[in-house]
Amino acid sequence: MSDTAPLTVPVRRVELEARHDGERVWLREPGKSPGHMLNTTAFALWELCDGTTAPHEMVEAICILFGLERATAERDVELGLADLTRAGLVEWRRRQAENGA
Amino acid sequence: MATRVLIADEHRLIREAVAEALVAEAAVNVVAEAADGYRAVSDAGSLLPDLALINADLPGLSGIDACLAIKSSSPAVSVIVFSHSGDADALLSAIEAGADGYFGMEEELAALVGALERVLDGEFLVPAHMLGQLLQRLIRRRRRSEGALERYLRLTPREREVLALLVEGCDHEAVAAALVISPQTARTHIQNLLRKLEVHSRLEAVALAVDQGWVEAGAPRRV
Repeated sequence: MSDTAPLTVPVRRVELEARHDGERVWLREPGKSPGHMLNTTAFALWELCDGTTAPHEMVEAICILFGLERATAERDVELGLADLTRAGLVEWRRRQAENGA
Repeated sequence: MATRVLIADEHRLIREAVAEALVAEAAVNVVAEAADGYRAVSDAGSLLPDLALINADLPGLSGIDACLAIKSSSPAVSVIVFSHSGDADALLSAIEAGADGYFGMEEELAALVGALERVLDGEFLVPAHMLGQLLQRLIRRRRRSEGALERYLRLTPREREVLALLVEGCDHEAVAAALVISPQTARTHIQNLLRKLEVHSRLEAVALAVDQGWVEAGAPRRV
């Protein structure tokens, strides 16, 4: 990792289970309801929150995949991560070393 | 006006089923059916369909290589690559080959009509359930590439010259002759560059250099 890597990165809460329902995904804690409904893009962002991936890496991958301008992707990722954080689906921790890359 | 479509799949049954479904559900004219990658590229070049629907796993030239060839020679032709569900490697390869979309073979045929329309409207088509793992693979690939570049930047200009000569097929004596240095010095440069690149053999160093585009593989050098 580069020296400019941020100290904290988003980490998804591993105890949540995902249930796919067409174009939507439900995340819920086992035994609790109702859980949170995400669209597929938000779910993909949540999946990227593995404790090693920095938001700027998410932005770069999204730019490559969808041919988006960086500013647009940055805004989308920032808003998406803010929503996931507010909903308690991710938390922010110090960056870990990557496993199994 | 009907959308002109090329269908490439090894199996006639699949080609015909897809063609029938498309023609029944949408204004589609199937202008060609190809059973292998070479035929798909040839037909795409001569017929210039609006869209080519290509199985990733074609005999002869693979569907991914066929996609690359079509997008290189006829970029106006939209290409959808289809493959088995969850094959993220095929999906990533298709994207790198310039595909405009990817369709999983577990999907219903009816959904293919919508997929065609979305791609022809300029939308990039990725199965929603594969988006996360696809982004993860892109990120990992980028990290590997950045890590390799950091190692390359550790090489001295002389070591980079030696690496280029190794890519041309030189052994340490040929490197020495080309750079007018002693064979022992050439050997030392080679050992140093292997250590800095964190590889274990000359072959590995050459493969890394070519893969990362630091040095182009060319004709073997004569010394």
